[in-house]
Amino acid sequence: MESQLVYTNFSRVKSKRKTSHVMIELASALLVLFIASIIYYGIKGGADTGKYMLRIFLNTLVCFVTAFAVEYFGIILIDRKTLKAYEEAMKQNMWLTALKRTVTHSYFYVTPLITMLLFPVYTPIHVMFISILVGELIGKMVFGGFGSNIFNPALTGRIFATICFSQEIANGTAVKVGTDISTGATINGIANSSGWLGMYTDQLSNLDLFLGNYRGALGETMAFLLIILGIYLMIRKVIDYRLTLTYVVSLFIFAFFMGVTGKHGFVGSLEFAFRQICFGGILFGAVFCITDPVTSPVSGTGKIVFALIAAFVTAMIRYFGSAPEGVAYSILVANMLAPVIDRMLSRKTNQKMVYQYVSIAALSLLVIGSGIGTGLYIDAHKASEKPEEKANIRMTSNEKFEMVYSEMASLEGVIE
Amino acid sequence: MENNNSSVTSTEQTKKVKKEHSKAFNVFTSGILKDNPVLVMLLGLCPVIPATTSIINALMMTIAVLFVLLFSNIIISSIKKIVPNEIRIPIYIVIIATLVTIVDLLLKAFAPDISESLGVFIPLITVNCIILGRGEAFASKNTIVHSILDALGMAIGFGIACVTIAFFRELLGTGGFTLVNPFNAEQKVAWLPLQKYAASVMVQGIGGFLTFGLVIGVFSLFLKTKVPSKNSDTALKNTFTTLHDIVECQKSERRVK
Amino acid sequence: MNILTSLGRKHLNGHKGLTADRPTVHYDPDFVYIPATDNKGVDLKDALTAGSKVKCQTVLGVRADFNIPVFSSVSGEIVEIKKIYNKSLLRAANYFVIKNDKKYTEETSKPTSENLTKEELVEFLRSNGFTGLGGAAFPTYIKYKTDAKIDHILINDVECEPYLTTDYTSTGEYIDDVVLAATRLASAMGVKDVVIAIKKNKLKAIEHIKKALEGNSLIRLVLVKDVYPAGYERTLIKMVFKKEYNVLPSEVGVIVNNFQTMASIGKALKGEGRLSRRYFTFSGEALNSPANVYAPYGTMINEIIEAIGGVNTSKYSIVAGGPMMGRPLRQIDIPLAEADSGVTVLRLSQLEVGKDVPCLRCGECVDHCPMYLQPVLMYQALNRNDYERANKLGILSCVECGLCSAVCPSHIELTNKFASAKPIVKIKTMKK
Repeated sequence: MESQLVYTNFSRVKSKRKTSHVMIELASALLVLFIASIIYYGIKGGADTGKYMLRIFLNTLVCFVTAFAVEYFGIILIDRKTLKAYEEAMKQNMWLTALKRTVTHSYFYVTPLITMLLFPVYTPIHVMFISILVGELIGKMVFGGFGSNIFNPALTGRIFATICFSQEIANGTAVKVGTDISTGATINGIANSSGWLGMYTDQLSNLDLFLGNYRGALGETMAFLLIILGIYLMIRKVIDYRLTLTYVVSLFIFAFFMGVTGKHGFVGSLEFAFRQICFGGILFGAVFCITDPVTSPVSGTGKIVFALIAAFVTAMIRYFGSAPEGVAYSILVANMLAPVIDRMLSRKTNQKMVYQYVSIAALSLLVIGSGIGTGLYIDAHKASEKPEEKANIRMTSNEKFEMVYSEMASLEGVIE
Repeated sequence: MENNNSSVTSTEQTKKVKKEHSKAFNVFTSGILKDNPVLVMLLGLCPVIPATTSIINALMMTIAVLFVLLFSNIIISSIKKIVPNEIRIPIYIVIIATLVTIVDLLLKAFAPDISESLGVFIPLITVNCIILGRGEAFASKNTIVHSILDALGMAIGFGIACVTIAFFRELLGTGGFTLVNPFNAEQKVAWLPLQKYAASVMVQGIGGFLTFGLVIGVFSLFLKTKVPSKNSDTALKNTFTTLHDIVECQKSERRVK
Repeated sequence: MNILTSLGRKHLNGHKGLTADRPTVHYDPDFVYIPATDNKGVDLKDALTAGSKVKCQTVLGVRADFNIPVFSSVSGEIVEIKKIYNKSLLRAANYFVIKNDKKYTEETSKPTSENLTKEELVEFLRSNGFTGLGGAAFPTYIKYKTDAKIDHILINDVECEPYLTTDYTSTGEYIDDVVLAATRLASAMGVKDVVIAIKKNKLKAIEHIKKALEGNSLIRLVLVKDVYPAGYERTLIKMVFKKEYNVLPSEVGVIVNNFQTMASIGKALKGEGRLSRRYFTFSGEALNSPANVYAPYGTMINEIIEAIGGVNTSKYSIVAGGPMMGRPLRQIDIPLAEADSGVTVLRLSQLEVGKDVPCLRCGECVDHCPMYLQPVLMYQALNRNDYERANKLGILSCVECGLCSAVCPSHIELTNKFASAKPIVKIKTMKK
């Protein structure tokens, strides 16, 4: 046959594992977590199960439709040139191509799934709508679409909604606080009221904490499922193991040293540290939020430094700050520093290894040192704080300060 | 001959008049959209964020800026020939400060609630870059009539920008619109259909910066500013023609099989 | 395991089954074309003219840049000196057109003495015009002329480039010459340790080598993992000796030579004259029957492709070398150079173009780069035409091995962008 030589200078060997495979695996892991949470609320909902299911369904619909619409129009505005060139060469309508590209090039389905899992089950629909809108628009599209954003879009939306609607979100953990599923305060409320050094095992046993048998956001409670999913995703190389492991292990060590100086003993400190990382969204943030490849540094050393900074800021906000969501704020702060870390490490990755090792060692020492310091500080100030009522406390960022200084019955029995 | 001459000069004269009119028209309209001080030239951003918490605040700030800008342009344009070049900036600031003090005292007297809600940003009009910038760049080099038109255009542009931003901030932040009589704070007309769903953070600093940025973005979209793309046209065409060839080859191979 | 990098973990599909362990094809062309210029395009000194009769290993001229002679690869007569497209100069240049009388009569040459000093060795290497046959064609005598203390000689039989099997095919045939050359070179340079490196999955070749090395205390065999840039000098020295160097391997006391180069040196030391023919691999899915072809240097590519059966598809793309590091060709009537290991012919439908997704910043390219660069940051800098920052990131050290494009999950064309940007960066930094 007539053979024609074609000159092309494009790469001839390409990897079999594409970005779409990675994203689909990530989305399936999120879906597994989502379905597990739905089943949990289905079983434990009691009379209100129907309302929970309807609300979850509506929230999911709103999230996906809004995300798709924002990304569709974003792609048409940003990639106009490429779409036109594609239309000329391949004879396909520009609007249809943009539809396909929203799924294959922009992976719109990941952000709404993460956003859904960050909120409690009975969140009002308008809160979810504003959160996903702000997250997509300001966290992703304004910076230039997929691959160009600095901040994690799901966390941006979550923080915006937290500042605006903190009361509605706190009320959203159940249809009516005080019914079967919601006896007792939120985890943060209990922990804060007992001064952060208490092991309130009579209010929430270790097994309950591990299995997620308490109310909170959809994705944050089930510690065992998150650990299994995290290990699976790390083995499949969907998420980078250096980020997740550094974050969780440094927070564990921080809490361990806090426990040691808080007079829990060695084994008691291990149990204390384990409890500390099982609640508050640390495991969810470690597996899904901090590992977003677009917003984290590129080199290996950069990733470890990034995770250490995020762990340090999480610990500071959680134990000394008044905001309930330490994880989200700290990951956003670390995202802000990711370009700086890239810039400082912008040389060959085997040069000046001394600086790289020294920075990792210095940050690790900072984490350990602040762990010891926090333990000593809280231990010393524990006696001067007045304990307060434990039942039905809804902690919001504004009310927390008043709560600390209101006088109530003593909780000495809880604190060991 | 004489008839011809006079007709020639009369057409020349009409042309000159038309040119002057069009220049004046350009001076007036450039401040509204094409050279909008807030959205295009990004001058005088300091009062924009706090003054756009509600539409009434935005309108009052616009009126204050209009007053100061108009009179400062007139005065600067009238004294431009006698001001020594080395000390022109302090002189302009003294003029502007005087006008701002007048405005401040008037507001404190007749609309005390507005003065309180705008707070320190009324005296800060003194160092607002719009007024000093237009005075320095335009009024000190052009005639009084052109300066008046420029001042009006710029103030209208400032007003359009502020009212647009305030529209969105108030709508999303409080759930609707509240119109307050500036001279008598008791009379208010409120229409708040979305109050349950209002995101209260929009009337604070965060919402202000976000709305401001988004309005600038949408505005520049309509102005069709060119953004450089990382792939040149020829590279894209080359890539997609090759892709077309490859798809054709794959289709023909599948047919052969 | 190093957690900061994953260099040496990427296994590529080698497609070696297409040509390895298959019967080789012998091809005798009617004409061969030897370059009459050096690497920069300057004509050779003392060049022979048209009409001269030549034999294998006749000196045709002396290169001006490194002062080494250029030899004829066949016996016959120089018909003319013609301008043909030269694929390393990327323009037309002078070539000797030699008519092959298919007899391959050699010039007389005598074996050298058993013990050579270093100066005699360097002169021997220079006067016989040995250049690296691994692809880069660097003059060998310059490597051995160094003043640094050399502790090891490393013989590179790894051949990590996909589709190519020349070293593998010729291992059994040339291993004794290689052993002889290694022994003489080691005694001349005072080296006590010679290593032959080969991938651990090339079992037949390993058998040949083990049999030849029985009882040899100077030379040892080292097996290397089947990963991509294992055949690259820098990565191989890191894998075998765990050392890293800056510019030249002699800084850490190592000299690296290709297996074929050593075979050629061995034959010359024995007195049989250097190699004038070698195994070229003509492989790829677009060929009807891919094979290793034993042909003299300077054969035209299109002649060989027709001789082994031609192309089986309507549109194809051809690359001189392997698909990772080879350069695409615009025409196939060009001659093979000495250092070419072969030619890969791929179907157009095998390629993938234009399906790249925005960069995910996953860091795979950073983890795998053998020169420890950060391709993702260089790509971002080049997109906004920031050549200063690209230079600071070290783009001029890029060897264009193609590994970053091969591991990128978004299928971004990284290597092309760096290859086309390097000349611009060079010009801009030289201006200062």
